[in-house]
Amino acid sequence: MPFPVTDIVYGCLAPALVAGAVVWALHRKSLGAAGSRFGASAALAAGFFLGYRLLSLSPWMPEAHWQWLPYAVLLAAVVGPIVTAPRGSWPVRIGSCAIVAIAAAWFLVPAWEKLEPSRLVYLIGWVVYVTSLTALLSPLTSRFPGPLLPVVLAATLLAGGMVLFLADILRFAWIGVAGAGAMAGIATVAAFDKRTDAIAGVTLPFAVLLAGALLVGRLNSFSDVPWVSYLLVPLAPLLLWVGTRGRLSTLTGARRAVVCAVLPGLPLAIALLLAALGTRPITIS
Amino acid sequence: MKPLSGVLTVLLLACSGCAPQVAVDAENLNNVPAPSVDPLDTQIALTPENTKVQFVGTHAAADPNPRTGVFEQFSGTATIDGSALTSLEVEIQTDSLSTDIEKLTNHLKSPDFFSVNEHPTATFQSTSISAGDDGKTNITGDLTLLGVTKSITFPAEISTADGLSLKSEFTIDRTEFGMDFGLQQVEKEVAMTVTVGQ
Repeated sequence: MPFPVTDIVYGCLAPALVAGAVVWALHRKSLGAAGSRFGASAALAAGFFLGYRLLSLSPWMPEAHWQWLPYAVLLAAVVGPIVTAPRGSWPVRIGSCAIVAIAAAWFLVPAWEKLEPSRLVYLIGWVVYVTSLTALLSPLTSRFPGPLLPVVLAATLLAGGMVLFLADILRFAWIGVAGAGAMAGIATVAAFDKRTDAIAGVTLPFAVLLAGALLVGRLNSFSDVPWVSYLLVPLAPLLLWVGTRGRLSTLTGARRAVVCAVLPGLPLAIALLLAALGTRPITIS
Repeated sequence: MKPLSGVLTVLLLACSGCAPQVAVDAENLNNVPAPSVDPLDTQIALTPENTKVQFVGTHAAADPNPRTGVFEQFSGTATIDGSALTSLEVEIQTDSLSTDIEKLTNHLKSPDFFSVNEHPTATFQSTSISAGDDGKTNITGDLTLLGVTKSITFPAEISTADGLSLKSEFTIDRTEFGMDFGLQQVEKEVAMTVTVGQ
């Protein structure tokens, strides 16, 4: 059994409980706007880091490139809410995201001689990917108050974990699961917190966590899971933009919820299907 | 699709009915300064053709469901002084590990176990070789796996009557080398079998 009960408790339930508690505590009115802005970001980082440590996924002191990921997420969790401050200009926001992404990429992309394409290509590509993802996701946090967006982000993290599972790296699959657990805890609290800024600031740590796990997973996998599966998963929540346009934007209640679940669910399903097909030996008789 | 987790490790060896590759002929040295090699020493190359390094990982469950793997690329040298093995060194290319199950092979190569991209080689260098019980020979040396070096000792049946023949079965604790993933699913003890020239 690849997922023992104790691992599920440590790697999913504990992150959910801690993330829920953190976001609930920081969203109290007495902490004002700062608490609101840092609440979800701190909750995701705390929940994920707890799960990562409880599962002992790597030593405290990184010895390999991928072991820097939890620290990259912590950095993103600190900077994320600052980047998404309402008064910040777009160049400053994008620039701050890019700086965090560059710092994370510098440690996450290995310096292997055999790396193809080159390390520079990976560095540039990943920084552009994470920065763009964060920039496009951030406005959605105010357009989708309540639990919908964090539920979608949790499902996306879980799908990332499943892709890494199919890529035959369980250690990295747990990274996605721990992140999904933490985001599920945030979603639970968000269900009772209708503020439009309830999860503001969470997009940068979300992007670094998921895109980082998929990057190191792709680099260390010997499976035939295709590139597109790794690239497609983090982009899935962006399809929520479709729900803000035309007739779809006028939907309410259950219809709106269904549409908003199906939109990001489609690319996730495609990514998982391609990953599953890629890992199945093809025999021609 | 159960990601089977075998496990593994290590190396060593010696060689078999293979002809010595290096033999110092003292009579042909003339006045050339003699190399610091005992004329009686014989060095034998260890290759996948004359040596087999196999490991067996078992599940930590009612049904152990053992999984066997081998390393297909490695190189090494066994030195014999007269009829006695005096040293042994091996370097294994970890990404050459292979099992009968493709997904298991992929999993073993990942950071969950061998992390072959980060640690492309594993090495063994003997430090002492002495007589053991029941006519066996105890080989002690430094095993480096996942960048961690530990001293291990294992018994081996050795014969040099007709080339080098060696057989050894022993276990190692993978966690001593930092290979600590999935301890609830895969036993930490890994059975190793090294065979040379049989």
